[in-house]
Parts: sequence; structure tokens; C-alpha cells
Amino acid sequence: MSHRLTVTGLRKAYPGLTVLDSVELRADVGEVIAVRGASGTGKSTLLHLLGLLDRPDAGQIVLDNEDVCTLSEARRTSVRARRVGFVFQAFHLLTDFTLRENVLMSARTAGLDLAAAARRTDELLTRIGLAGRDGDVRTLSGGERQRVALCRALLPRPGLLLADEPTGNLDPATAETVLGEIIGLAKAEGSAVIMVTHDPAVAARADRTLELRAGRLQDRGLQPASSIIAG
Amino acid sequence: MLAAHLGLRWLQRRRAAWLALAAVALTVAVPVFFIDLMQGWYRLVAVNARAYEADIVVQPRVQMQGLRDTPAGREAILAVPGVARLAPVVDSWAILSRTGVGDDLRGNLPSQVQGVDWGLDAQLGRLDPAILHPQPILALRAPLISPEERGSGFATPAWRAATALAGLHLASALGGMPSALPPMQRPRPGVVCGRELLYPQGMRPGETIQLALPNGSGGTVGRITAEISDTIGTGVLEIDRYLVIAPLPLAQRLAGMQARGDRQARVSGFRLATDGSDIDTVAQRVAETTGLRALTWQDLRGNMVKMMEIQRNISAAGMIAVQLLTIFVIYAVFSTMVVELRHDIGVLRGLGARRRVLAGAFLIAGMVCCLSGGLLGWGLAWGVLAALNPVSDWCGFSLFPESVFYTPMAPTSFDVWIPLLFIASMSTIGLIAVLLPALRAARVEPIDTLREGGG
Repeated sequence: MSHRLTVTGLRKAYPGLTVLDSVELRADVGEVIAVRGASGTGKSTLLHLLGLLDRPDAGQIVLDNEDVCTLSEARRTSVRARRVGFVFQAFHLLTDFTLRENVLMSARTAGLDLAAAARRTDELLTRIGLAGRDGDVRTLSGGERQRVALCRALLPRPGLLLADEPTGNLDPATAETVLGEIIGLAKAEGSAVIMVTHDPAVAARADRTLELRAGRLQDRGLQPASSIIAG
Repeated sequence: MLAAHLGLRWLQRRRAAWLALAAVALTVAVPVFFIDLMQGWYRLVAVNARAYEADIVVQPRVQMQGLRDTPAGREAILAVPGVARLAPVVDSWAILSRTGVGDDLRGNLPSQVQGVDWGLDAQLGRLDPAILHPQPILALRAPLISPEERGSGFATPAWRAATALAGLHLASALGGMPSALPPMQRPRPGVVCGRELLYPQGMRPGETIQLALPNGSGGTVGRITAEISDTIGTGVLEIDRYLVIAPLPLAQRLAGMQARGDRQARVSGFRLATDGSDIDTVAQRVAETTGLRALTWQDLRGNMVKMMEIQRNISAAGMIAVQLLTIFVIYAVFSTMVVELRHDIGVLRGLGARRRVLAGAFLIAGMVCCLSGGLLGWGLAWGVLAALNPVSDWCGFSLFPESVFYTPMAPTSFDVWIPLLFIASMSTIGLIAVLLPALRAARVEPIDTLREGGG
């Protein structure tokens, strides 16, 4: 199995506070990794660094065999558009655009062929049960919004899917369904998934769970959900 | 193109953008409306001034002496490169009075008298039917005289009757007439008078008048009797208020310039038409070649036209300065839009939209807002201009009283350069106003907005 993402010696500090220190991480094609940790331990900072939204103070992030930390701002933006997908707790859909336009937006930012992107949009929406749907995204339920956000993230076939509490705003039943779709679709597309979550049940669905503690990632391995809940 | 896609959608979906559109439309419509009227007025005056004047007028350096009107003299002027045609003119003045009023001077009118060769003057482009019997745009408030009542040029109605009578006498001489005909009478020469000179005095074509040029010692230089054959109206310049146009020989007799004994007939000067060459250059050549004074139409009337042109240009500049105020409206609207869209901009940055694309989206939105608002303003202004005359007719009042403006119509021009000028200035202003908000949008950091909740 080839490595989709390799992180070595990643460090990020703010004045008076070292958030991440010598973070090591490796994600393979189709692998789902859950990152857990208490509030303020740097989970979101890690995602921002992996998503090329921020620059580390030290260390290396190699995405598809390319060190993305040394790239120019414009190149990082281009890599983010084509090779990284985001799914957020707050969905972050664009309310001035329709459902389909939201999905297609990632194709536009990545500069993909729109006709091909439209066909892929249909395909993705069909796979998550929103076939033929369009219109104002404000009329969608939370679960539907997150599915649309997932389609938007996966449209450019990113090598890396970053999910920040993707089910945090959903009821348990919907969360279970959406989580299944995220994992299922990402695996089918060959995307590595780094998923930040507080929810042990969500973490339990991952291939691996990492704990972020004192600025370092510690591998907790795969644990049965029941033991985590009990712990 | 992502920038256009984003910009147009935001423009469409944000109510504040409609406010900017309305502001732009109004700040284009108002200047277009006013400058269009000013341009119409400017053009009307220019047409009037140009219609009355020849390209160049040649005069002696000392006017009192006049010029000898000889074929050789005319040839010398026509030989100057750039001169195409020539017509002699006698400029004088006279006291105009009705015949039969005796010593009652209350109705006497000081008048400017011009003696012309009608045919040659018409070849210069002056005194053509459009000037002699102008269309409504140049019409005076007094009605035009019907063709039956007036003559045409110097031919009076009496000349017309005399010509018909001559035909009848010829027929009678050939034995074809059963009854006696009235005796032949030689009609008086015709003169063309300005309508503003005649109508307030109750005079009409067909009346006989007397023109006398006093000599300053109780007598006259010359005195002529003539019949009013036709009228002329030259509109806003009010030249016709004092004008009498007389046949050249008649005017020469009035001014004492007729041939007498060995003395050759004299004229006040010549009017010239150029072959399209620059009139200033031709005038300079004529002056150098002949030693006479050569004045262009701009020397004589151009200052007024130039003054109106300068006034129009200053007004247009003032209107553009007023348009500058729209900077604040557009800036405020687009700044508000950037604040409202901060979340979406952050999300788009997260999705990989480049900073320049986001700045471009706002610039495109601003440009489209200014262009579409400008086109809307153009339509609005021209719509109001087109409706001015019909609406004022329908309401029964005149926005542009003929007594003041010498035209029953609003002097609209509908020149395309006027709206294009203001749309271009508005677009430039809009672009400047949107620049700062656009740069602010480009600086939005995705991390800040993605941490927040939203859509």
C-alpha cells in the first residue's frame, strides 16, 4: 500500500504556546484515521496544516510524494483545490448558490472540466441519495447539508479528505448514516481520511485512532467502541 | 470563469448591489439628460451661426471706402488656393419706414441692409430655402407666410402677377383675348426682411417700404422704395430682428456705391466659400495675396459658439465631479458585501479559490454594476428626453417657450458620445470604489472563517 500522506517532525507554535511538536503521521490510500484529543490540544491546527491553510514552523508534509510545505502560496492553493477535500462540522455551504452549484464549486476552484464535473456531481449525488435534487441549500436538513458538503469535497477526487467533527451537528441516527457515507465514499475513491472527532463512536469506525496529547500524536490503534465509551 | 461566476451571482443575490445599481443609473441619467440638452442647444446655435455666415468674408482695411467690384478683382481672389466661390456684398444700414406715413417717424425702424447677388450667395450655401423658410426647429413664433402670399427671394408677388399679365398681353396682341386687359405696370424691386423686424410692426410681404440712409446733414446718401417680397428667419441669433436683404444694385444705390460717371460700382466686400481647405489658412492666404482683411465665420460668430462649447465642457466636467460622489455609495455597498460574504469568501479560499479570483469577482461585480447601471441610466435619460416634447404638448404647456428659445421643441441632440462618456467615467469611478473592498476580500484568511459556524 502506497503512502498518500507522510508527516514528519511537524511543529507549530504560537507565542508562549507550542501546539504541535514533532508530529509524525502516515496515511495510506483509502485509510481512515481518527484524531482525538481534548479541546485545545491542536486538532484543528493539525487539520489546517494538513489542509495547507496554514504553514508549519518546522517539519514536512508530503502529499502524493510532493513536499507541500515548500510550495508557493499560489501552488499551495492549487494543491488544496485539486488534492485536498474538507468536510466541516458546520457544513460551510454557500447560500448564494444552489445544491448542485455548491458541489460544482470545487470543480470550478480546481479548474476542472465543468461538463465532466457535472456528470460526476450526478454520480455522487446519486450515491448519497440526493439524485435529482437541487435548489436552495438553506432548505436542506443537517444530514443533507453534510452530504452535499461531502460531495463537494470528493468531486475533484482528492487524495486527502480532512473531516473536522463531521457529525458534530447531526442527530445520532443521521450521524451514523453520514459517517458511513464519508468512509464508504472516501474508500471507494481511494482518498485517505483524517477525521478529527470527540465522539468515540465515530473514532471507532476509523481504521486507526490517534490521540493528540502534549503536541504529539500517539497511536491508540483500533479499539472496540464499547471500551472507549466505558473508559 | 470563476471570478465572473461568483461576481455575477453575488451581484444578483445581494440587495445592497441593487442600491449601487440604482445610484449608478441615476448618476448617469442626470448628466446625460442635462448635457444632451446643452449639446442640442449648442448645435442649434452653431447651425444658426453657420447658416448665416460664409466661410470667409473679405473686407477693405478701411471700410468706408468699399472695394471696386471688377472682374479682375474677383479673379484675383478666386485665384487664391482654397477659394472655391465668391459673392459680393454691400453692408449698410438704413431707416425703414412704410410708404405713406409722411413725417411720422414713430414707425421708423433702423435696419441693417445687406445687398447680395442672390444666385451667387445661394452657391455659398447661404440663403437656401432651409434658411429662408426654415423648418419648425428654427421657426419663429409668428406663422410662416403661405407660398401664395409671399414671393421667393427678391421675386415679389407683384412680379409674379406682372409676369402673368405680360403673358396675357402677349395673347391679346395675338388676338386671343376677348376683353381689355389692365395696363402693364412695372413692379417695384423686392427685398427680403427679417421676420422679427416685420411682424411686431404688423408688416407683411407685399407691403411697400422705403429705405433711407441719412448723410448726417439732413439729407440722404441714398433712398430706395421696394416691396417686401419674402421673409427670413435665422432663429436664436436674432439677426433677422434688424435685417433687410436687398438686391445688390439696389443696396449700392442706397449706400452710394453704384457706378456713377467714370466711377466704378463698389461693394463692401466679398463672401467666400472654401474648397474644404482649412478656413484659417485660406483666410491668411487671401489676406496676404490681396492685402484685404479676411475674417473667418469663427472670427465673426465663432466666439459665441465656442463659448457654448466651453460651457458645455465645463458642465460635463462638473457632472463627472458629481459622479465622483457615487464612489462613496459604491464603496459602502461593496464593503458591506465583503463583510456579509466574509464566510463564503473564507470557504472559497478553503476550497482553493485564489486571492486574485476573489478580488476579481468583486471587481467584475463592480464593473457589471456600473455598466448595467450606466446603460439603465442611458435608457432612462433618453426616454425622458424623448418624452419631453410629447408630454409637454399633451399637458398643454411648453417647457421650452418659443419666445425664449426660438424653437417649439426641446433642443435634444441624442448624441451617443454623451452617454458613453458618462458610462465610461462611471465605470472608472466604480472600479476605483470597488478596489479597496476587493482587496479586503482577497485578504480574508480561510482559517478565521472556517472556525466559525455557517451554512
